[in-house]
Amino acid sequence: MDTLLWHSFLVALAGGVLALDRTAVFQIMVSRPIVTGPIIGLLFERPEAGLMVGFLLELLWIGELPVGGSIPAHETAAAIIAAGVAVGVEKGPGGLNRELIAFIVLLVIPVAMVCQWVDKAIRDFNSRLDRLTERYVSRVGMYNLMGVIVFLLPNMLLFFVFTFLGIIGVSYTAPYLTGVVRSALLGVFFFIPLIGIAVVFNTARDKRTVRIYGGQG
Amino acid sequence: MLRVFFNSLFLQAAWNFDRMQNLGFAASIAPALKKIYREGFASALKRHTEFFNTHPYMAAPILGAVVRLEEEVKDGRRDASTISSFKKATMGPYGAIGDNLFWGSIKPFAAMVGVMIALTGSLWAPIVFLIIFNIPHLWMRVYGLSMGYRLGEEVVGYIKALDLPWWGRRVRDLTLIMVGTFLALYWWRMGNLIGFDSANLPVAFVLIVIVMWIAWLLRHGFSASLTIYLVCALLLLFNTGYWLLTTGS
Repeated sequence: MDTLLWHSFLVALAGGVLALDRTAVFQIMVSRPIVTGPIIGLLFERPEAGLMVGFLLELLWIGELPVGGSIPAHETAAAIIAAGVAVGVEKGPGGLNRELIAFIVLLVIPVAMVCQWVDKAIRDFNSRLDRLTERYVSRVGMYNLMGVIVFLLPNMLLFFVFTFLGIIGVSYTAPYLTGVVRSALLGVFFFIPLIGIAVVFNTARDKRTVRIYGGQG
Repeated sequence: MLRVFFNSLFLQAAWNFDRMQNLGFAASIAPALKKIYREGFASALKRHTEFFNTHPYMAAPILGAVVRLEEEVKDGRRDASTISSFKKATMGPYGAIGDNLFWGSIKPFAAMVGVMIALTGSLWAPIVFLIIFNIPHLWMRVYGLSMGYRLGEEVVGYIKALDLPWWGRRVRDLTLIMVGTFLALYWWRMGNLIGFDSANLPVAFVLIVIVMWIAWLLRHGFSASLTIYLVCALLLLFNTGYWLLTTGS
């Protein structure tokens, strides 16, 4: 249990810092699933497992655009928790396979929605910092930096809780997955990249699609 | 300007629904204002706590230009109200340009390159993704800020001359080519993993039909997440039916 707690804490700590890049600071894209997955994996000397999870989740959310005031599903949270759970399960007695990776991905999609809701609540809370600036304008730098803490702490808590529960849940459920379910999960594993491709196709396509693939100069 | 650049990396640290990036913008410009206005710093800073929202990378040329405009206000060559007008006039269009170029074009392209490398199992995938994305990103942040400061209001003409939407379209052309390449590579990898003949063209055609079907679903209100659960449910139904048939006979 101590190892599991320590594992979840490390995922939460590293994940919390990485997730800041999503909105609050830098935005150099280290918060994208294809980067966070391998980094979380690397933390536990299993970068390949993290890369596999990150690859699938990157494709799933490749078309999400944080345009204007819209808050998309928290793909970073999904990738961090999924990579943390995948590595935790891989270290366990049952090991990790493609079916379990697909199972983990299916489990973290609703988690991304929960984190999206928390993200909205964080931005609501930030309005208080904005109102404080009205009174103490010279402290604007400090209030802006407080926003970083406001983004960091709830995310860390969520990552810790969901990683902890995820490892326990997947480890205990895995032995009870029947052959029918396992083969459906394997199908899902191979299907996810096709969904990602369809998303990219829709994002980039227009009349030029015909020009490029139809050979019309 | 170095401190302005550093602070601009925290532009969205306190992003809020009321006035969005206002705190980040004010915090970014604060070091420059402190230098320009030895007196009246607070009232100058107050001007920048008004509503502000644009693409985070495209804020750089606006920030640079606003610092230049503030210097002109200090020298009495300009009225302070023109700064607010400049911000209001630029943030919307620059937001749209940035969303289209960085979120809608460069990010999917860099991600496609990354996932193609990841498909081979190489850990270079995240590194290549970060390099491809961050070259234009950091260029815009560093060069945009510097050009904004150098040109002031004229930076609008400079950004227009860059014709960023044209670059966005070209990158999306490349992304579409990557989609086709990815499908071919994925088909070949699946062939190796599952053990079927990936040179079988009629079967490969099925893959394209599946992608087109998913693309159609996505265009008709299905989200990617919902599609994956739909696929899972269909596969479960199919497998259960197959199991019942085989065990029944």
